[in-house]
Amino acid sequence: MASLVTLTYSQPTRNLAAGEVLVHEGDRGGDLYVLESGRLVVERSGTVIARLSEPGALVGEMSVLTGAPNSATVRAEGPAIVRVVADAMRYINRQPEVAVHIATVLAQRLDATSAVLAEVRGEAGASPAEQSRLSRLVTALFAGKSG
Amino acid sequence: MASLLTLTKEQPSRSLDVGEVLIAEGDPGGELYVLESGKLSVERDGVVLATIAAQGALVGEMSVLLGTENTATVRAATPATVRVVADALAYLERQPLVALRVAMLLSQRLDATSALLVALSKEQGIRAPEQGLFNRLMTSLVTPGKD
Repeated sequence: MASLVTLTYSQPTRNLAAGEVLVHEGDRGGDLYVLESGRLVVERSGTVIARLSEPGALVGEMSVLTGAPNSATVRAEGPAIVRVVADAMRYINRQPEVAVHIATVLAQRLDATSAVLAEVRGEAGASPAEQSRLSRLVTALFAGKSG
Repeated sequence: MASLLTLTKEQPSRSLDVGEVLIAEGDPGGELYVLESGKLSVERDGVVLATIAAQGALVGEMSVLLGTENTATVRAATPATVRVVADALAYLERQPLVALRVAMLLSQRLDATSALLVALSKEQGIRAPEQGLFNRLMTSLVTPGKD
């Protein structure tokens, strides 16, 4: 499968200076960004939860797909370049390969998360309260419900 | 947007008896199923992880997208009917709306899990090791393989 950077080659790019914010937690989403070069930091409620440095890494896809506001702030750690897909839902609708690619990236994240959960559930020593929280996470992960 | 059941209405259906296995853990995947009616249970290592009862729910999408074998066993918890999409990756590449719908369902699961994680990590009585686990899970939800 072609990479997202290749698939979106006709989209414009945007240069970010170190520290510049690409998306703000709580803002309305709708645009999709594909990392070309550099490194981005993902923060939620002021806590750094991840760094993206792989070319082709996606930003904004969750708000595009769920229609919800951005759930994290993403800023450039150093100078960075992103490919910008404006009005991403329409774009994805016309580009099946991009849609499949995005679905694959999401599946990888679900898979990685469920592997961590499976590893922890197999460990001894979790209290009943901890077991119950893990079960709720597993339910959310498989069924998309937090009940 | 049209539901997966509407989008896949030309695909064949399969009826399952109570207890019948739709997919078995460890088998090669590659097919996608959409729940028409009834309830399915998802098991991993003999433990029921989730029950799927929502019309239009997806089964098999992880192995299709990741190209891996099935990571869970799915069996009918009641008499059930599923829509069968054979050679699903090729199908998704021809059907952007279906691929997009699949991506939306995956993103809802990621979103539900990360929302629950944020809520849980604010609960009283969370010990440091569990907080560490939550941070790992949050990282895997945002970016796979960067644990």
